[in-house]
Amino acid sequence: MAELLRAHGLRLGALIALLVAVWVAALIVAPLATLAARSSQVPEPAAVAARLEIDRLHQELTAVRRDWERATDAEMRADLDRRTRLVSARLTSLERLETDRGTRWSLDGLSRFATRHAAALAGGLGRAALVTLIALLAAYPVAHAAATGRHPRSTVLVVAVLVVFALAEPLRAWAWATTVDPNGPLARALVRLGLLAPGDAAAILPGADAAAGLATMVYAHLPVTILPIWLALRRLDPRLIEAARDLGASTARIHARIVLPHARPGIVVGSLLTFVLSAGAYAVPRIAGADRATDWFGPLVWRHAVGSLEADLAAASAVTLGLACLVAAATAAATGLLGLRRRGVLPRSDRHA
Amino acid sequence: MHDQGDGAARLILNLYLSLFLLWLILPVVALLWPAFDAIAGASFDATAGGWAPPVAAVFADAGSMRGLLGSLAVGLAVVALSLPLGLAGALAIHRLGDRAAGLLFAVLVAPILVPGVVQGLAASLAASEVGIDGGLVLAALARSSQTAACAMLLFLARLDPLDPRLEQAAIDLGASRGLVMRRILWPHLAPTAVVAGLVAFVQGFGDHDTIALALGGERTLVGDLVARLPEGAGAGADPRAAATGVLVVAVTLAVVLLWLRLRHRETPLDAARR
Repeated sequence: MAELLRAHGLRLGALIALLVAVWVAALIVAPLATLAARSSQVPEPAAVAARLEIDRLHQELTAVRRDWERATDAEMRADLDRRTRLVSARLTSLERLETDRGTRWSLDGLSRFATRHAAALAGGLGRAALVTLIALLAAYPVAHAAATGRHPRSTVLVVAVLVVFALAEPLRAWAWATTVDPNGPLARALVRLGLLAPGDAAAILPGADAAAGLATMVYAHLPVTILPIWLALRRLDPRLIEAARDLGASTARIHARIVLPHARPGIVVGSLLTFVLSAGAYAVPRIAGADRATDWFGPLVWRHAVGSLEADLAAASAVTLGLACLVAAATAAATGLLGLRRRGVLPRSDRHA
Repeated sequence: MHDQGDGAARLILNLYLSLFLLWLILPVVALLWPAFDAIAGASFDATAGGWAPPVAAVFADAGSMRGLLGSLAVGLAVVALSLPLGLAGALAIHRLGDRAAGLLFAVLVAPILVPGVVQGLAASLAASEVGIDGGLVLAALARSSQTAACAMLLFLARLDPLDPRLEQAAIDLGASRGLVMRRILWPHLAPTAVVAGLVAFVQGFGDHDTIALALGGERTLVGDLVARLPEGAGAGADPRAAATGVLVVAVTLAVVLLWLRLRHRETPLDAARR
């Protein structure tokens, strides 16, 4: 904090600190803490009983008031007043009990959800990893060509990737669904060109089914895999490669020792993004028609979030998915795959010392 | 400077790149096609259509218009939130000590690693706790936890090569903090701010998973598209999806081409060579 004020001055430093504090508190901590709290709270039996008793007492109070209005002599009214006071006092204490002990902390919801849907979670994460691997293998040569290739080709590649990126995941998935639609424009164009018999479209194009989910998922996340690698490789100094070649290094060796290490932060960021996006996607599998099957975990979370009557179970489904993704990312970081600091994704403090 | 490897390897690479480009672009063409096809009804004759009318026809009804306005509002609000937050985060991390910077970086970037469905549900639960209803504002807030982090990463990458001694020298020579910001930091960061703003807009305009749970009764283009799909059935050729795609692709192409032109004009290296 003191460093911040020293570096940016009092007014700018304080503004920066305020914005960051609001960001952390309102956009990150408050939502995730609420979600975590909801997932680990269940209604207390005593509170449920108190709620029922409160409803009954309210009805009794209404009845007493009606009697009071109908009552004619003062003694009867005094008697009813006494009852009103008694019932009101009991209501106050019960309402306090309900708010004080309304819920109790319990990991029941989380453990119930995690055990019930362990297979779906493992399957969803496994498929997300597969999508990540396929997208990475397909994207790497393209990102490399776009970053280091000559002008017209690299520009065409970059513009194409940016246009597909701008469509955002749901529309990208929709684009793929349209392509494989047996009644879609591609099938009709092929039929018109005489390349496809009118009835054969359904047999050749997979259409929208559970198996198409994987292909849709890969296509929907291609730009997210390519762009970070492209950005990382753009910073590669061509003179390094020239020097290595002048010193007699082979193409394969140059790639392994210079290009790949440079691409690594981009590969890690792109893969992590692709993994998290496919592990939790809802719209993409829905558009692919794969939301009914337990192939993907996102739709399962969605169904709980929207449809579940048990609030703790809805939150538990989201917490399970969020934790699984964070653990996967932390594992990637801990196994030393990242090298984020060394590679300049994190600022290097040595240069600022 | 590309590999001088043998011709066969180069041929395979070029073949692969061409196929990849086809893989990338063909679905976009397929997505957009029904927009030009729509006016001709079920027939595949595009001759009757032309460009504007089918897209306009798709947006003519009030529901689609409301979705378009909702998407635009979320996109712009996400930009308005993400740019100041992302810049503040980058400036803070840029100048904090090693350990504090690492911790703040981890906290601010963590939402990127949490799926959108989770963020949307968390935001709507937290908002209902303090009595805020779902709507366009809540949707933009929910989406910004990720987009602000993306903007911050872009700003950080730009700040990293900037030598802090430059700022210190200016201050030692008597420049005010405001002057340093205006004359050194901002000119250096402005191009990144444009890119970060565009990325944030795309992430807000086209998103579904994060904002759908936080929207309340409001509508967005993509939200409408997904909501109309029957359970368990996939999407197919659709004039509304096509019209949305035409809009996004046209604007993106214009922006990218403008950016390419400006970039070539502005590079200091180019100017020096001339």
